Amino acid sequence: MPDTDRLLVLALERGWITPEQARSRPSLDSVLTPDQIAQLRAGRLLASKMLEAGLKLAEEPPGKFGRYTLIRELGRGGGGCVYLARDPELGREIAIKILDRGVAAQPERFRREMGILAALRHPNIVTIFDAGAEDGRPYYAMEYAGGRSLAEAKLPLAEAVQVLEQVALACHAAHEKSIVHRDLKPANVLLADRPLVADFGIAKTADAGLTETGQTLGTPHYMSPEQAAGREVDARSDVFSMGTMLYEMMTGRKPFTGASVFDVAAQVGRVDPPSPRSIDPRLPRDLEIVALKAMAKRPERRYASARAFADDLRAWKEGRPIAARPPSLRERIASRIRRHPRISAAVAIAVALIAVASIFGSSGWRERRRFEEAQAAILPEVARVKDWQVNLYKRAREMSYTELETAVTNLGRVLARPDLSPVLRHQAHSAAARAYLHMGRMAEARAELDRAIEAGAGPIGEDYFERSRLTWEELLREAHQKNEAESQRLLRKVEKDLDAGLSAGFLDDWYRDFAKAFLRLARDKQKAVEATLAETDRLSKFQEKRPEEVIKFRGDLYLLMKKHDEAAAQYQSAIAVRECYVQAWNGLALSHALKGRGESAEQLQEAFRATSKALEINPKYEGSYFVFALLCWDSLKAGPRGLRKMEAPAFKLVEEAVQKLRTGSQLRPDSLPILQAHGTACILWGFGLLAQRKDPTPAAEEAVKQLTAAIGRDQGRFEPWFARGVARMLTGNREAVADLAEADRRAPENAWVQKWTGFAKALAGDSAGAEAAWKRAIALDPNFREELEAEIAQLPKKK
Amino acid sequence: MSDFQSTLWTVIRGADRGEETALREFALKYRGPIVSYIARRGLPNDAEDLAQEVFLRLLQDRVLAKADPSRGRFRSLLLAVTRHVISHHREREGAQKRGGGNVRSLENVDVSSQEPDESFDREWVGHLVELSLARLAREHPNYHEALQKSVLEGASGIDHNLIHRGKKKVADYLREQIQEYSLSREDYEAELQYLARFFP
Repeated sequence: MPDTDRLLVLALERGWITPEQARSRPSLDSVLTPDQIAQLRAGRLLASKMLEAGLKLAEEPPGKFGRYTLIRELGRGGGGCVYLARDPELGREIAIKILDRGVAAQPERFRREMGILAALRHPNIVTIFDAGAEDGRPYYAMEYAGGRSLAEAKLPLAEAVQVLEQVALACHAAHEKSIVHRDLKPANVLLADRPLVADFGIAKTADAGLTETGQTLGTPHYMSPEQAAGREVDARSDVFSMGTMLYEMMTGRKPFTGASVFDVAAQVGRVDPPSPRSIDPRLPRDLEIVALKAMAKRPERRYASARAFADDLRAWKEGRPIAARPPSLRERIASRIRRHPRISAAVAIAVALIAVASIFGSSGWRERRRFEEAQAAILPEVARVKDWQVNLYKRAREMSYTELETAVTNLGRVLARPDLSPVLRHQAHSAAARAYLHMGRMAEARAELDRAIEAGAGPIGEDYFERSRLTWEELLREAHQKNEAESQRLLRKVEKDLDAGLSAGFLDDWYRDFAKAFLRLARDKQKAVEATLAETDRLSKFQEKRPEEVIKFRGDLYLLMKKHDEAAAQYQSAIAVRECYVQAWNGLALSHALKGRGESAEQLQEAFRATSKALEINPKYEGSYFVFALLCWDSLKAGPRGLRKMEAPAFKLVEEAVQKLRTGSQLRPDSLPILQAHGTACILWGFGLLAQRKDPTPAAEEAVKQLTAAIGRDQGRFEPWFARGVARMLTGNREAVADLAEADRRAPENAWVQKWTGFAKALAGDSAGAEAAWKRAIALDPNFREELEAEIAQLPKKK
Repeated sequence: MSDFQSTLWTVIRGADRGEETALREFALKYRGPIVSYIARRGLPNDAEDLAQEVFLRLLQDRVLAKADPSRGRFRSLLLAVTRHVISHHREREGAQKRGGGNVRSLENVDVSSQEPDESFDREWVGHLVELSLARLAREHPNYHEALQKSVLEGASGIDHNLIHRGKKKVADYLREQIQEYSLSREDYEAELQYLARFFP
């Protein structure tokens, strides 16, 4: 059937099947899951839709656009592209923004609203000359100012304040005509001979005229909470944006940071940024008050107008008293309650007391009433989620896999309800993450944590914390791989999550203490490791609750310091406290492996034993499989010659391990780390069989099967390709070279890939290719010189 | 020889040395539209075999040089050879019924004077877009997801940047693909221009 043929080729292109599989023309369901087939069909549908909608094939050369001559691209984003252009009629240079084709739903309305904006004339606002649609593509032409934007400039504070004052006055002029900017940010303030505000009101006009849905999510960093929540905005929304700009100009950082735009958008409405003076105590106090007032969460607490904001900026500049007052204690507590509905009873009572004290129109009291009413409306749901959540927080460790699975299913059912409040949504995701963590399903746990944080309507500090710990385990494995860049990246991720966690607030003190200890390590690197170790001793509360975790953390630190004996000792004491502590067993395995550096057979065997133990305790914990795969990796360092000398005890260990891994992949046939570990272990097994003078084919086939599935699940990484290439060498399969080439494409500077490519090519009779690959391997890692030069010398000379 | 590198050149050089791996891979990738075309011409059962023959013929009879580059040499050639293989197949079937048969060489076919076939070209372009999207799914799953959500599911609120970059990547991949089956820079430019008509 022609359709089958096409889908197979697409599956091949996606990396789900191999070329030989595609060539043998199997039936679809024998090589692909129903889900994959459905995805391929959806892909074909998408292609035909995209073809209908049109796609620019040629790179757009600057040329004519309507009556304008395009000169060059100035920038891109926000659904269009800005060009420098020439208007031949008026003989001047202009900037023209051409919006993407295919979104113009209401061109007339677009033109009309642009007309209103064009009427807006102010010396500090970029003038719009012309707007319309040309060839179905909406555009608007505006004044070209040249110069940098505020985003690219770093101005001294006094100068920055002056710019912002002018921006605020320009905004006020527009506000008086009922035009709100909606997208004020440093990139929209141009520093020509005078400050110029660009893209005034475009955000709304473009939405109204261009898309039916009205959803343009730009950068949320400067967006007001009401705008982030999709509510109606007025001039005070722009005041908020200017407040965040002031904050950034003072402190050099954005008040709200997060991993994704959703994180940031969630924070805008929920988190108080650290005060500028807590970042730099030398900053002027009055200016801090001005910034924080402009950035108040509730519009009525901000400056009532951009002019009032401008007035205070001027007052500060001229050394006069400002109008703004720092918020009172009561205001601060009330705003905390609003944003942390799960806050402790004690604080709630305190607020109630304050409310009684100032009984007339106390907003704290009103807020609390509203909160209670809202909670009562969804009480049964709350009770259930709460129940599960408490269970999962406190008891997850003792719950069986099935129990945990049931909990996840229940939570999924609750989460499917569209009317679920953000608070409950957060709690349900957060609880599901706990369940997955204890089930050893790391990818799912991470995804749930991401969602919990994204929902962001509760104390997400703990979620950040748990996510940072997932990253931390990844980091330990990368340290083993000696991948410095990746380790640094992961360390930054850990750091970011903990920072976010600390500013979001933790419910428990010991979380905070632990987060701080972690951060210290992340920030000060090796120098402070000893200090951090000392600090872990002071984590008394944590120590009481989970002593073994503190011990294990010390082990981790030693591991990163390359003190492998000390690390092993710590892990062993952690295991002594709790024998079924899987992560500690894996840590022990890593410390042995690192100590042996893949050269000491004895250490490697110890490592295998430790991680086998971890697999035995919890065959579903993915982290152990990662470690297992790493150990197999280490073994591959011996090269094909070394591996063929595998001794009987080692072989026995590998054979047993393969058994365990088979169990693992039966339990979790969809898990990438398990597939990889299983596949890689089979390679070792295959070399073991060779060493025993037995046929390695069954091992090689099992390996290829697992690794092909692994490639189908994750094409980005080079490891599964590399491993499959090596597996194919076992049976002299010529595709080995192709697999290794794929690995090389994904990790071009990897000496190991080159080394094995050399062996594969030598095996395939390509002496020249083998020599080239080995020479490259030596260039990448001089440690290979001796071994590989010997190999090169043994190559058959010239055909 | 041209310094223009493409998979098609690799295939040709491989065929010169009697290696067929590259050709097989290449045929596998591009035979979909050919199979559909043959099937539509009333030969659904023989479509796959005949498609295979098309690719073999393409190299054996050294027809590549004869095609008119201005119309997209490779694609129009594929169509010409396919038509030839179909008519030859029909002749052979007829001859067999009459009890004999002769093999006609492509030497006598003027491959450059073939009429274009809009529906084949459209299908061809569709196939290229499908391949590009599959590659996008592999290399940039987030872009692919964004495109899928916005185009297929009509979801709103998707990061426009992702969609924009996704489309741009697809266009890049399409160009790369066209380059893969072109023999020269001129070939490539001509094909690009020819196929652009399918992107309104």
